Amino acid sequence: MRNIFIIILYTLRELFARKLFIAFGIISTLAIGIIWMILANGSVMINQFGNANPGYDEMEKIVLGFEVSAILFLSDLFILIAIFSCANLISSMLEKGTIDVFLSKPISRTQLLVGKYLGGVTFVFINMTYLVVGIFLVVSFYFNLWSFTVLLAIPVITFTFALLNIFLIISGLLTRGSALGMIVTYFYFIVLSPILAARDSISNFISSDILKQFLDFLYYLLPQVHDIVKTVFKQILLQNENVQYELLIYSTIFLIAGLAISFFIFEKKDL
Amino acid sequence: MEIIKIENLSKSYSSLKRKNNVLALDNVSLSVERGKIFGLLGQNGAGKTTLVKILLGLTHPTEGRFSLFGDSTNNYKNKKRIGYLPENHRFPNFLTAYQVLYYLGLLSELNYDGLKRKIFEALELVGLKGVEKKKVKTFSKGMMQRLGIAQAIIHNPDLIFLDEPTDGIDPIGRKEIRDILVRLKNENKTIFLNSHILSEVELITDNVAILHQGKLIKQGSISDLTAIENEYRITTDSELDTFLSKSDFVNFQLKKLNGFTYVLSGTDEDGLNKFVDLLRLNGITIKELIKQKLSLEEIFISLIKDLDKVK
Ligand SMILES: Nc1ncnc2c1ncn2[C@@H]1O[C@H](COP(=O)(O)OP(=O)(O)OP(=O)(O)O)[C@@H](O)[C@H]1O
Ligand SMILES: [Mg+2]
Repeated sequence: MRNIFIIILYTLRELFARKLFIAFGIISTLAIGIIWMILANGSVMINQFGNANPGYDEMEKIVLGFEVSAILFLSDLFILIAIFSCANLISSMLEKGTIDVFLSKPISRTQLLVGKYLGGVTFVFINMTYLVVGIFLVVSFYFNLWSFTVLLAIPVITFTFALLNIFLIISGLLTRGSALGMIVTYFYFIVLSPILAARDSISNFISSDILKQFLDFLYYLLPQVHDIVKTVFKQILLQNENVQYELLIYSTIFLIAGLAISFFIFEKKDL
Repeated sequence: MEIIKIENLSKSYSSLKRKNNVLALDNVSLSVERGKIFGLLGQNGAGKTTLVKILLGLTHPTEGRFSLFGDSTNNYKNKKRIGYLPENHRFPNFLTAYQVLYYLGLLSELNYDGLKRKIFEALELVGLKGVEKKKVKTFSKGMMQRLGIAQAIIHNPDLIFLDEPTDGIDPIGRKEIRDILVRLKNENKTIFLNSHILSEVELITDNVAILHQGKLIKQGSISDLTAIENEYRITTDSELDTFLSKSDFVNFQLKKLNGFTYVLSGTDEDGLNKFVDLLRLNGITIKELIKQKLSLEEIFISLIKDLDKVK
């Protein structure tokens, strides 16, 4: 436990030394500032909707909707930058001469890998906390309406990154570089995951049954990143009835299996 | 007590094309006693680094077994008692020398209190006092090497692996490092040294093994390896030419080296003493008498040459 904690700490330090915390901090602060300005100038618009004196429920929905769209938009951007930031954590650990030093200490390969993995996840968690709490405070103060459920965005987005980080870890272990990991993860996040999420509508254009089943197979095999963010998150926030909790379960299984595979690859590797 | 015991260790690095497979270690067996300095010698690519990496669990052997401290499970917790200086080591380059030692000290299960004192002791020992606040990315090669040695000994390990410890270090620094190693040995630590600087190895090691293309071709104590059987060098105050043809000593070969120095060969200690008696009877003063020795380098080169001839 102590070993993992030390590695997490120094992984964050590595990211800090690469000025990534500062970069994220600046982007978040800018985003929060812009939201504040939009609110300050656009308050009249919200009041012009429907009746002049909307009920509390209706008002809460409008505020939540506003927060959710802002956070969803920014979180996509954040995840793109986070992938870029964390892509070389594994390759820098595996550098010849560096890994030799670390593995000569009383730390197991699994502990080292878990530390690096969680280091990346913690990095995203810290930055998302700053962003989401910032937006939450600005919006809530402005409307004097405190919907704490919006803070769920922090774990949901961190979890999304934790899933994508599996791709980074496995590619890093296999190639000792960061390029493949970035390509695979970006491809999955930007292209494949949205396609799989929309496979029902796509199916209408596909005649081959095998292809349809293949898409279904991929959908359940790979983490449902796109759906988790967009659906689960929205459903929870907008108090929708049928929350797809099973998506979380599938993805957690993927996460555990992915970690197990990466431990296995690392354990077998000649360094 | 045997701290390291290696039995029939082989390692082949596989590549996509089977004929490019490298047999880096071929059935190597050896053991290292506690409290000794052991030198592993060999040309570039002989397999020295591979052997050490296997012992540290960085690389997996293809065949064979080994144990450290009598434990063959390769448990990572044993590494608390091990220090390692890898060849071409690197440290997280955003840290200072002090921070590197702090980080690695924490991983070596040293406690927060006391760590600071240990870091300064280690820095002082390797001659890096005063630069502890410099980022390691600004370090020269020799400074990096010294820092590498510091991290290998900071946790007071019982067994220390050093892969080319004096690589890139100036002559004074080399002497300092040799002194550190001898000091550690006197504290009953075991040191496993990889090197090709044979003159240095000869100065401090107790035992050596020579690897050639993955095979162990020679192993033994420095004094055994470098001694030449039945050969002595003798310096006197006058010519010995009259003895060169003495019939009593047909088995002897007395060769003139230079001046009044001769090489006497082909005799055991008994014969040597008889010869000395003879010289003394004839009123010759013996100024120096020593057992002939080869340097480690001479042995190494002749061994490798012989092997190449066989091919
Ligand atoms: N990761 C690897 N993959 C494939 N072959 C390797 C690998 N590491 C080492 N080798 C090969 O194994 C052999 C032994 O290499 P090793 O590094 O152990 O030599 P060495 O004795 O330490 O040499 P040097 O004195 O140059 O440090 C060499 O032929 C080398 O090419
Ligand atoms: Mg080597």
